[in-house]
Amino acid sequence: MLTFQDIITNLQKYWTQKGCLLLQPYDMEMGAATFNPFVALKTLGDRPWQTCFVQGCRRPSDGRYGKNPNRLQHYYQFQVLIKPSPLDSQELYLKSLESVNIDPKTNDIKFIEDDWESPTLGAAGLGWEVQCNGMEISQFTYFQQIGGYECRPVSLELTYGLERLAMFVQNIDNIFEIIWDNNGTKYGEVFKKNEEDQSYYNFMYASEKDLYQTFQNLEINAEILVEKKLVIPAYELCIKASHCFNLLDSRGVISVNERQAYILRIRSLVQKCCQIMVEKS
Amino acid sequence: MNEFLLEIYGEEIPSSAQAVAKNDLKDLFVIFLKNEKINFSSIETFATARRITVIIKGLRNKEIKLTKEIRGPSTSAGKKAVEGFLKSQGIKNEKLLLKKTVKGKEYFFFEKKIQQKSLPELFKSEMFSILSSIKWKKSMRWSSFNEKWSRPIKSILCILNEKIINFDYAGVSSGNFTYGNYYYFQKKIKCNNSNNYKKALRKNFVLLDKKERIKKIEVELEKFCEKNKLKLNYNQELMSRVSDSVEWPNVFFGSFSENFFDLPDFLITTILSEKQDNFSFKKKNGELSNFFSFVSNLEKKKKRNLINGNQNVLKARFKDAKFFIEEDNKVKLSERLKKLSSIVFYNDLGTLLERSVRIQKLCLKISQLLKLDIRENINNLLYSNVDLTTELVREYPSLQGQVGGFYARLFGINEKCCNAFSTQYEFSKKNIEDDLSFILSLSQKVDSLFGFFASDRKVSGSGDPFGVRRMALSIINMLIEKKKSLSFSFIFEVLVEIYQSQNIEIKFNKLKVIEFLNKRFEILLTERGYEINTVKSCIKKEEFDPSDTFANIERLKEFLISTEGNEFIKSYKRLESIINQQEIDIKIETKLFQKNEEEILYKDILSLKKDYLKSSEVLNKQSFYDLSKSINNFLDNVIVNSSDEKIKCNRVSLLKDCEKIVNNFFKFSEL
Repeated sequence: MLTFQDIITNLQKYWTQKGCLLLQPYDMEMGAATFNPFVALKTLGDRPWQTCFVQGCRRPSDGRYGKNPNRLQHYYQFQVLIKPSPLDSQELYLKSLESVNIDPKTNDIKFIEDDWESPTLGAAGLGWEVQCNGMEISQFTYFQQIGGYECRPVSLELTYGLERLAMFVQNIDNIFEIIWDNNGTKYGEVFKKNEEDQSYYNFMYASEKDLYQTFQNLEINAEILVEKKLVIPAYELCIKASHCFNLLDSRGVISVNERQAYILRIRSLVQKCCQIMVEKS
Repeated sequence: MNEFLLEIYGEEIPSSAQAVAKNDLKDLFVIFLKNEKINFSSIETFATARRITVIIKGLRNKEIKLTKEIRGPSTSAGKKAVEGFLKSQGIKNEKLLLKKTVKGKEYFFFEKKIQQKSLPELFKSEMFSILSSIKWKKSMRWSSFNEKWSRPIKSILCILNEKIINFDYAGVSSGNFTYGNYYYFQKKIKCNNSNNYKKALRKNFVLLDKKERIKKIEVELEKFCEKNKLKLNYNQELMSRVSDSVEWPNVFFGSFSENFFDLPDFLITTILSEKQDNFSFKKKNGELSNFFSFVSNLEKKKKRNLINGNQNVLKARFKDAKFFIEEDNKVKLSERLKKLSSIVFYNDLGTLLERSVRIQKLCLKISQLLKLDIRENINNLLYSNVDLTTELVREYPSLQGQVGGFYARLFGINEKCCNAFSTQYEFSKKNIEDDLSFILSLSQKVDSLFGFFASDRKVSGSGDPFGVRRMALSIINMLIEKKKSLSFSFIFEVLVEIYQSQNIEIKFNKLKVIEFLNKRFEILLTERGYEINTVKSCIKKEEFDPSDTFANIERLKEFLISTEGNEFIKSYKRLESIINQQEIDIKIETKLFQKNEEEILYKDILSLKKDYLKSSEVLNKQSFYDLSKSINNFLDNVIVNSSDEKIKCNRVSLLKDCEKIVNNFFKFSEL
């Protein structure tokens, strides 16, 4: 049976053999690997770029105090970005599944319409949610625009939810039972306590007042950096602001309508970063 | 054979895009064939998840010798001009030219033969333009190509009378091969006509025709139902989506534990049909069954993985939902109110609790205005929004409202009120019938709309990120359907007061919002086929009252097509053309009247004024008809531009008065 770390190793091996540069995780809190500057900002301009890497992701409001067998507020994505998108993208992807012992001939792989959109990044792409026997295991996206700018050429973005994939491959129905290594270490041993503690923080103890203030400070500083055309630090502050917003959201203090306004504020900053990127290229 | 076969094969095309492609390609080819005067006996388009196909049969190119007359210099022009013309047409002999007279002048003409393109050439030159003219709702580029399609294209088959039509689109060159269902067979399959194309597809597990795919699914579902004494919850949208998602539908069946039946049915069926694309069933007694069904490309004999996998996913989803409900149930409704008070609505419009209070107050006010009694439930209405604090809504935002009704029921709130909670966000006609549902749904939308504008936000040119346009339309539709007149200039005043009582600072420009609403109304009605000018004549600048305005529009419409109306408009236009140039407007003095026609017109005006005071809604056709006669008599027999300035002013003012009073009924000036 493939362990959690085998799955990562196999995917890395597969995609590096296909020419991807293996990056290491970005050292910031983010809701999805797409936010990683080596993805988001690299989709602009015409220089070819191929990379793959594991990214830890945080979605504070998905925390369940470690009690729900299907949900985590911190989890791992395996991310692939290839620009321009290869002509055999789908075949490449299906073959990658074989590298983690999923045979598309005996498992029902479905490409379900999912027009991906990140309102925060002002990004949009067309593609699918890939389901394996009804379970979502990947996101398959052709990047069309970011920060309001058209992506030319188009990048292919593949995102594997590593825990989901492992649950499927290991045929178990509880995230915390995922076998991590050949010593039989379970996912829960590594992360359960983290899930419990972080859930308390996300839902009860993250200081609203500080978060509101932090959000504002980040916004102001990002503007200053944008003016100085320091695009990477400016964009990093956008990532931070986005996480800050996610925490406010999990504290349950933002209404549906208010959400929209926060998202627009981050988007306008990202847009400015992208503008600088476009001007530079 | 005289047939044309086109297939665009590629990565999975969404169901909605398949419909657009089928439709548009048919139209585009028909237009092309008509323009080029090419006869054909039939055209069919097909779509599956992986391909779009066009088959045109009985093609016949009309053999017409086309010539075009080209005018040269006049016959009286110099030799040089004629030589120049001959050269430009590539001929040498002047005798090939004709002489014709145009507008009294004689010219040289050359009858040029136009090279007629052959059928293959015509198709070849048109293909790119046709493929790029589809109006996708969403389309994409891929790799480094500029062309768009719903999803990346992998191959193009294009055959006319068994020969390839060569062209390129998005980096793909057309050829004479296709592919089967890629789960079964991945090699190229050659074909050169629609017969062997269709045969090859069927042999390789592709049902090209959607109807056939649906039939196959239905037959298998029916068999299952018969065997297990069940009834399918037929969901047309789901059936369409599912049949478009596979090329060779095989139906599989699974079940879930009956323990999950403590989840509400609406939640179970939403998870099944919307999240998992599964069919659900009812037992003979009408209760939901724990069987479900899904469709896949894969062969039946490989079903073990599929069924286990799908059952596991459902179990996980249901467990998740159960977890949410358990968590939610720990919190009493009154505690939820407290939670509402810590959630900001728009950042300057107070909390969700304050919003709930406003909605409650607004409900009461509106019910009084419409004379609908909801007093028994007025206290419960404070809980209309509490589901926004629940885990279940956080997870399934589209079930907002329904979840509220569900929890309210668990906490013992009466059925009528629970239903009102459940249906409040609906945009359908569901919440029209019951008065409480109607009032809650209306108030909830009105507060959102008011709040949007009162926080000084603007509606952007495109898109509807805050759903303002949609809300406006819903408000209009609800009031028209329910035939309830409601003055929004008054409602807005009420809301301003409510906001003030909550110490919420607002920037509200009433006239602007009324203008916005009336504009939506105008667009809605013109889309429904109402004459724009008729609509404009009934819309009041300072008031938004859709039901009332709508009734007026109907009345005016009826008046305008009547003989009386027709006569009146004619006379009104006469009157308008005379006073348009006049700036005079004084008080009318009856003692300055010199002619009988003046007296009569004056009397008519007075009586109309009385009518108007009695009821602005009753449009007495006869009195308008009488008025039109009086206007005509006046204009026929009275000289407005009298030499006596005083009399002239008096006459102009009389006409103006007449205009004013009729425009009180409707703005005839807009017609």
